[in-house]
Amino acid sequence: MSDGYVLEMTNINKTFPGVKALDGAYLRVKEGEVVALCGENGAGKSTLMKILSGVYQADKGSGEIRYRGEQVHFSSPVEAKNAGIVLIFQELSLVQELSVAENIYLGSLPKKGFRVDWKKLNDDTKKVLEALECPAKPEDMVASLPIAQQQMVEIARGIALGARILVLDEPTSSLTEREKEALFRSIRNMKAQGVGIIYISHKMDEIFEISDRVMVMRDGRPTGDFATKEITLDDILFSMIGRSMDQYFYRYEGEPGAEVLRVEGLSLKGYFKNISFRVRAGEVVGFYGLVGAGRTEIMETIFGIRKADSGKVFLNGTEQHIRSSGDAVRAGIGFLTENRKEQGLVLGEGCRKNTYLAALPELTKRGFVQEKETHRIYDYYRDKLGIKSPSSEQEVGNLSGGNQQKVVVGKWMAIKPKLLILDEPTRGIDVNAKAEIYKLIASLAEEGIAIILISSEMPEIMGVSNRVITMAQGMLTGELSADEVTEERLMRNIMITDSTKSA
Amino acid sequence: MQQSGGNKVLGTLKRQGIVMALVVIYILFAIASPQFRSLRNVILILRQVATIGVMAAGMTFVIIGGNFDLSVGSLLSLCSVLCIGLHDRIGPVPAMLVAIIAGLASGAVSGFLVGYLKLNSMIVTLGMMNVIQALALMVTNGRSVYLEDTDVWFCQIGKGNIAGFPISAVIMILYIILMAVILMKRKYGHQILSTGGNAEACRYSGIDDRRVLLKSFVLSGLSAAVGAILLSSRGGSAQPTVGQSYEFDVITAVILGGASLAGGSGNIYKTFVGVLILGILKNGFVMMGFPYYVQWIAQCLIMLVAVYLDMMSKKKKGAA
Ligand SMILES: Nc1ncnc2c1ncn2[C@@H]1O[C@H](COP(=O)(O)OP(=O)(O)OP(=O)(O)O)[C@@H](O)[C@H]1O
Ligand SMILES: [Mg+2]
Repeated sequence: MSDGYVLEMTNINKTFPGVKALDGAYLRVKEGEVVALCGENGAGKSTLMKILSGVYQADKGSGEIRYRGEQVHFSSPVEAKNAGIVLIFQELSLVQELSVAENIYLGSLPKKGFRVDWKKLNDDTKKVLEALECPAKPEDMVASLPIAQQQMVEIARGIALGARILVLDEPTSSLTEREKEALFRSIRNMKAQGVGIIYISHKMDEIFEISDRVMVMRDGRPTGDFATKEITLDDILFSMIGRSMDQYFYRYEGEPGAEVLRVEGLSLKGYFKNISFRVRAGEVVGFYGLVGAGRTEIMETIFGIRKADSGKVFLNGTEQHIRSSGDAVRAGIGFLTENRKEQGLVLGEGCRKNTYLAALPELTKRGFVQEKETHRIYDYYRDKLGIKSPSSEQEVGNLSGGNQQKVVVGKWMAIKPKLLILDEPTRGIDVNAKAEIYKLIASLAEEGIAIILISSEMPEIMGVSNRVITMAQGMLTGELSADEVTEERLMRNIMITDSTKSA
Repeated sequence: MQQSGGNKVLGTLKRQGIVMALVVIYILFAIASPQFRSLRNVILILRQVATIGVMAAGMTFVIIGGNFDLSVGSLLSLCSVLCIGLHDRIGPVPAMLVAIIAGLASGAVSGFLVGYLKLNSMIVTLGMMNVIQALALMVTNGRSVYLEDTDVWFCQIGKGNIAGFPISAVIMILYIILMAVILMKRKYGHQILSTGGNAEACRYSGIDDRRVLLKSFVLSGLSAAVGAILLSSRGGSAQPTVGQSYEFDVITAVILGGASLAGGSGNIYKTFVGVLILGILKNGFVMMGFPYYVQWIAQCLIMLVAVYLDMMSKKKKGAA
């Protein structure tokens, strides 16, 4: 093994119809090294990893993969996995109906004669889980575990298979802070055992926390290869976007206008209780709380997906009786959901169609869809949001994560909403696109749209909102103006529980 | 960003594969049997496929929505006996209206159960298939029904010609164009395609996915009723079990036409090409003197090929 590299990918090209996704990309990983892979949305990070694992094949005549000193070629993810290269994508590949232990040793269950040796299976599993500090039990059904633990089970499977290379593609985008810490501990654990780790993320703080080396890509080409210790955030950003970034957060500071949304005493048993708040035109109100605090559920209720037990919702001063999402859209409410793939996009349809999905009624004359108008709408938001896609008819499922998110943003802007609810709008989006989204939020506020921003990222909540409402266990626990908000106060407010509240 | 020339040709071939298949099958039969290629026979084929053509257009919506409608065969029976049985008693137009209302109502029931109660469409329409068959047998006491006099204008729908062209085929073509316009140009068409692709995302985008699915079954019910008018007016008589196994032909045609079994994509014109392929097979085997059941085997093979192709295209997507 020359120079201690377990894995060396060199000069990889990959062309999709209309796109050159990779152009001379390379990647090297040593034993026990964590390499962070950075780049804007669509830079080709996931594609490179999919070539490594045999999901895609590199273009003919390009590329070489050397693994443990030998030239290799995987034609399917199973082959790669058997060779010790384990990929963990955001979409997990566990069998939901089986137990943790069965999932980990699927295909190689320990046998006693013809029967499965359950005791050995569970003991082995327990050992692996303990090494990862994963609280799940071998007998637990995978479906019953939170996403973070499912992710760890997947890592555990990698360990059980004797993984030498572990690839994590945006693993933390749906994890809470505490779950992320646990994940990082298991990464360090594996690192100590000599596993080479490739870590893809758009969260720069994580990259500095966990990685030894940073590889940057732009438009499918490698643009930087640094030792993490020797560089600053600006170095990474510069290689990523080819220029330096002047401003990250944007906030519209104008005087808010008339009240747009007023919620009074909204309750839904098991989710939230007695919620009252208002949002004015041109105001960005942040909702901060732990995952499970009930923020999404409140918004789903306002949007007509759930039905409240009691309480009132007013828009522009008149009480609303919203019974369906259709009512909500007609009333001028847009709702960007936290799960892009399940609730945000029809992945098999084109960018244009996804962009006008919610605005369909307005683009219809006597039942006929105004085809020309739909093109105009798509072109407008493509330019405004900088959506990168080879064509308006390209299936959204083929776009990179960040561009998918921009399509969803476009979908809601297209209805010209009075109130726009954004639930984790920057999930999976690169720094540059994030800044663009923040700028966009500010300009929407300036246009007089009332905006609710749900986010689990503290800097984002603090940097963008004019006012932050905090929640814990289904109840509002406080409200802080932009001048008052500090990390400590936010943390204190979201930790309030029934017992501490009376104090 | 341009596709290379070779890629384009390949893509077109793949997209138009079903049309190529139609041409190839037609040429094969035309070589094998001189009778087959006569103009009279072509017109006969069009007349023969009129009912299935209309029904398959409606079924396309159901399959795009990610469901099946197995009840169309018995619905065809029920609507046929209603048309014929009521014709002499209440007149042709009211009789046809009753049939159409029956079709719409049956579709609405299936659609409600599938769309609103989220019951599996296979199970729901399998049940509906039996219920409707029972109704058809009940209203006729299990006997065939006949028109007193087949020299009425109603029978011209199925038998008559305009300038040598079957009226029923004209109606079928107009109906198919109407359905294609609904699917491609109207709001509803956009909604059913998106709902079939991802109902949850539609629900979160202000589209009432339940209602969209309900309507697809209503369209399928309507199509079965229109198909019944074309079928029953041809002979001026109807058996209460005349529609048996039509659901198989209709669904086969839609799948041949490339509609995805998982929902989200489909095309009425291509469905029609699927209908023509089935029609040519049936007709061609008869012309060549094979026993009629040979076509079943051929049909099954074609169906399997179509489903296999559907699966392969999805696998490729899954990898992406
Ligand atoms: N199956 C596909 N068909 C066509 N184009 C594709 C396909 N997969 C990826 N692409 C394109 O290749 C480019 C690289 O995409 P990739 O998913 O690798 O980006 P990424 O760096 O992982 O971005 P993100 O940070 O948004 O996840 C993009 O332009 C994308 O649209
Ligand atoms: Mg990616």
